[in-house]
Amino acid sequence: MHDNISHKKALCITFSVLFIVATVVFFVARDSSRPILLGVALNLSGRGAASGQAVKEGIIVAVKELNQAGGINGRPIKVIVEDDQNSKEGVIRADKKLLRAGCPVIIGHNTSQNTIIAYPIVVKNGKILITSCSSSTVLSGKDDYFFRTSVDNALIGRAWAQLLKRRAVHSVSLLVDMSNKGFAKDLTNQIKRFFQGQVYEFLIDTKGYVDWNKTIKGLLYNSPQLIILITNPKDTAIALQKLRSFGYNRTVFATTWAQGQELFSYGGNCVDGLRVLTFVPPIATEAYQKINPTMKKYFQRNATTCTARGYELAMIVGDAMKRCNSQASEPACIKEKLLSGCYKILSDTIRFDQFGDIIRPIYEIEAQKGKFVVNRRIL
Amino acid sequence: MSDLPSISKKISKYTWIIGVFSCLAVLFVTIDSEIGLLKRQAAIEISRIYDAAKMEVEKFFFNDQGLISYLKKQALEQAPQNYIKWIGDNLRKADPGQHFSILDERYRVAYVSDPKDKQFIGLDFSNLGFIKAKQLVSGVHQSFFTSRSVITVCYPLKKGLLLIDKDIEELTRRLKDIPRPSIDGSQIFILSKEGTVVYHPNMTLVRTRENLLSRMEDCNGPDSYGFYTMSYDHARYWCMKKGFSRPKSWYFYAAIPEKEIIPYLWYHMWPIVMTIFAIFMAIVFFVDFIIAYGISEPLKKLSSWLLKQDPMNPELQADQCPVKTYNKELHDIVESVKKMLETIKEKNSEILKRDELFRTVIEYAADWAYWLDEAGSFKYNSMKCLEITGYSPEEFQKDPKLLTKIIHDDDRPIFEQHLDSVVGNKPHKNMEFRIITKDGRIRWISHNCNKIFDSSGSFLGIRGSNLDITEQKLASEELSKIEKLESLGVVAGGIAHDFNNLLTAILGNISLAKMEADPSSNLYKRLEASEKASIRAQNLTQQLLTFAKGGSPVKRPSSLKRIILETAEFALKGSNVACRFDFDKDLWLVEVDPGQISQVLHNLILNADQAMPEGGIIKIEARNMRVQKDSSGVVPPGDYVVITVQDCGKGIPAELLPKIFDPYFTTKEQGSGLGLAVCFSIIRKHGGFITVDSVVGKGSSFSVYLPALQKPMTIQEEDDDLSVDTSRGKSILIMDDDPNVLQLLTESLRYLGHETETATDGKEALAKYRQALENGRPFDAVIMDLTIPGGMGGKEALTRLLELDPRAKVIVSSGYSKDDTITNYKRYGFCASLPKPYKLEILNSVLLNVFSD
Repeated sequence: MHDNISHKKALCITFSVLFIVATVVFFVARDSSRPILLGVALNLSGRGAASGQAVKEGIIVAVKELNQAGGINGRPIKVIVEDDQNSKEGVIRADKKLLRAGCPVIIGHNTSQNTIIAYPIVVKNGKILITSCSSSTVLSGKDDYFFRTSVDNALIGRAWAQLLKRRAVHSVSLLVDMSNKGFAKDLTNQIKRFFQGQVYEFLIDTKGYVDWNKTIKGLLYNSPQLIILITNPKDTAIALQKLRSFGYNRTVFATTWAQGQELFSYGGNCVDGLRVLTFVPPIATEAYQKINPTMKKYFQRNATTCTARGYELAMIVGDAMKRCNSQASEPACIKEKLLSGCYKILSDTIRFDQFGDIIRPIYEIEAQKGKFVVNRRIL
Repeated sequence: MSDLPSISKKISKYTWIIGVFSCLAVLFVTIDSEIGLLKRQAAIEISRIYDAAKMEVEKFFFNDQGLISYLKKQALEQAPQNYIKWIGDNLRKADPGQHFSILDERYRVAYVSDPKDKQFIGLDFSNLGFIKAKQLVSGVHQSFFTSRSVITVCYPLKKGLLLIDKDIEELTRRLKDIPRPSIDGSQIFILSKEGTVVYHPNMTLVRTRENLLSRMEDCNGPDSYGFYTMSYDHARYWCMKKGFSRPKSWYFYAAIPEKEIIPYLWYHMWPIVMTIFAIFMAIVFFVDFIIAYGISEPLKKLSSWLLKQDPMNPELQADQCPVKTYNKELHDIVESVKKMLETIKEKNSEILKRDELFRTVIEYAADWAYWLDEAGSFKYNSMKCLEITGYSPEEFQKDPKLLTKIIHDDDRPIFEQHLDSVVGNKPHKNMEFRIITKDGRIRWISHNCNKIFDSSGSFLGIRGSNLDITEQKLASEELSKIEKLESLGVVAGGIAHDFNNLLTAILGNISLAKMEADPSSNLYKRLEASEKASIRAQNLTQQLLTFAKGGSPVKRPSSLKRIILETAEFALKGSNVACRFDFDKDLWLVEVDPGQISQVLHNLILNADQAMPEGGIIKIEARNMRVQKDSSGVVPPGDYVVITVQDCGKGIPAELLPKIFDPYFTTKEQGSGLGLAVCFSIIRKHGGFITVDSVVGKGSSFSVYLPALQKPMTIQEEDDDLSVDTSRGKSILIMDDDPNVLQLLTESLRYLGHETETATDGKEALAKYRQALENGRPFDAVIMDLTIPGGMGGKEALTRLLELDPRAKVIVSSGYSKDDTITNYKRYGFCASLPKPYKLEILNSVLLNVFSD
């Protein structure tokens, strides 16, 4: 009888221990399989949404690769995408929604203007805001939770000045799209700051109606030695076609902002000869070729520069999260790891400075037969 | 064993397990078929939805086809420079809400539907992907003009290309009324060739041109119903995919969330599931019932009945098995069990009988048998050990060394040597040793043992047998003493006979001389001294004769009390030792020779007296004692009167005790060494025993065991007074070979007033008796010597004499006073006996007895 009671006791203890172990394993496993959220806020439906779409696809490709490689120390990354609709309201709504969802990192936005709007919302909440498309100097030199893989406008301005000087340009006309004022106007100021010649600026706002004929006439009015288009890809394409239709055959320059597929789609043959001062090298590099198979698998198209920028950004964030181990969802840790990281993802080795700004080369590239080629490295 | 589960519980458990699994299997099959049915129904439903959606999609994208074909035909009639404008204007008129543009032959914008877009006329769209690929339907893209999500449908014209932007948000609005699959949470959507949303109820996905294909993971299938399984946003779906023929490579998807399927199935299936469950429960209960009452219960009854049965019980009745069986297998089991029980009962009975037999043989044997196992522990020990040693078998079991421990210290080394020889397979013989019993007694044991092996030669232990030979040992010692005395008696008897004849003459003559002498004279005193010396010599010869074969006691029923008192008084005259008597009230009578017993007591009391030279008390007891059968010692069972003479003298050392009854063994300077030997001899001839206990410094105690008389008898007390007046003038014939005896006896009889005739042997005596008989003066008595060397002795002469005169009174006389003829004279035909030597008073007494009969 005694033996029987002892046997029952042993069974009870065994089952209790098994139950406790199973419960612990269940919660640990659940915790370990709990996804790490990655917020993405981009312009997906407003004007110029094509580049946002491409950045998003690049992010998704990167996350799929990260997850297939085991995620963040076993935890998968779940991407939550919000459309900022390229409007102030849309930006605020999208970021707040992502913050509510608990995303420690928000990738966005794809214009400097939208990023400037998002900055106080995200950073003040102690979350990481990281972008590949914002060069505004407004966001520079701050030790905070803001990071970017795009080069600061001050550096770009210096590059422009150097380029213009080398080409012995004394006067330049700038087509400034104020729909992305944070970038366009800031860059204009930086060019003015470093360029010693005459600068004519012609402001447009592509969010509203643009009278392109009048715009081009205005742009050509002062017979500048060189025209710089600080516009998005589609409007750059329109501007180029219009300039050619007005008989302007001299070299036209554009910014990184113009580096989108729409430039070639809507630019026709007029795009050939367009030169771009950019920190994003052409897509024909080896690194881009690695992205293409995944891109084709999921999106049935090749990568673009925007895709690559999204891909690069997500990979950098993923790497920082991985190095945080169990604190992969902690913004402070992610920030620390981002600052200490060194990355060679696309073509150049890059790293963040103490303020989360990037230090990377600046190239002059030229459109030839539907694609860009590198002319020279400026900085 | 009792912890094992019962067969009924086991069967019940397995019945339930089988039942549950069968139920689960049936439920699984039912659910599987129900899922199949659900999928079939869903597939049919989805096909209907697909048809409706397909119709709507085609209508949405291609409803302008007829109009455009008509316009294209009509436009041919227009001037070439007005061709594009005519089509554009008329298309605007026909469908004002339509947003379109017309490209010229070089794919430059030639016409726009919205006038505010006229500034774009002339733009080169030749690098647009779908134009370069000459696709009639583009992928989902953001409209150049409106920035909305559109699909551009291309209509080639004779001179140019008509591009109509179809706002897919509008499609979503149009398809909102399309029915959904009936399972909650189900969705339908349409994806382009690239996987971008063309239609989805979630407008955001439409607006943001979401690529849903990239978000579908773990896609498997299709199954036989056309369903895929896939994950989307960490949820599992059943998904049916149907392609469109126009636009080509578009797909219609219907997704049913798996989490909604179970509730849906349950909602539709619970009556079936419950019914199946109820049916199976009923079946399991029924089967359980059948098994319980058909198998389990009978087995249970059989089991409990069997548990109550004791195969050792001879009353076991296998036929009384209470189990009723309804099936063959169980019936066979019950019958087998019954047969088995019968067999067990028979075999048990045989084994019990055999066991009883062997046990009886062992336990009733005189031997204490035992079996030591290989380790030296007792495997078996017969109960005899308790009787012999006082220790129980359990005590030996508890302490296997006890066997060695109880052996007398002097004998233990020999025993251990013997045991070593047995164990070491060395030659050994049976041995004898002494043991100290639990109550401290010493017992003699005859021991034998040997190693035993089974049929295969395996060593099983040592079997031993111990026989209590204490009595034989004592008897042997007794016999040894008797033999010593008898050998002495043979020599002494011959000498004593001659001495007695001589002493008869001496005593007779002294008696006659004393009659003639003046009692106050010195002569009389000298004669009296001579007579005393002769009597002492007579006593010595009497003692010697005690050892002789002829020294049998002349027994008669006697009271020991008187003998003890008279003997003690006589023996202790002038001694400084006092005597304390203690007799049982109704002391049994004994048949003894009073003289001999007196002699024994005299010797014992004298020894006790001499053991206490400084005085003391001799304790003399006489007790009735019944010696039981199971008592140990030299005294056999029976009723005895035990006389104990106990002194508190210096005692006898233990090593001398075995020798004290030996003839001529003495520790006294002037002792003859015959005293205790005579005591021993007398008592043995009385059928009794004498034992001694002595402790040095405390004293000795002699116990005389005399067989008690079984029937009451009257005691005839001796009267030794001389009466010469009772009978005188008788005629007596005397026969003796010794002339001195003849002369003395003749003179003595004459002194007593009788006439005598003499004869020297039996023939002469017969002749004289016949002559007297013929003369009419027969002899009144005849005194015959028992033994006549070279002539007819008393016994033969008596036979013939009685033939001659059966009334003849013949007195036998002999120096062999212990001869059986003297002791038991009547048995031989004599009327009295007269042992030599005798005083005149004795002769007169015998004659008076003879003549008074």
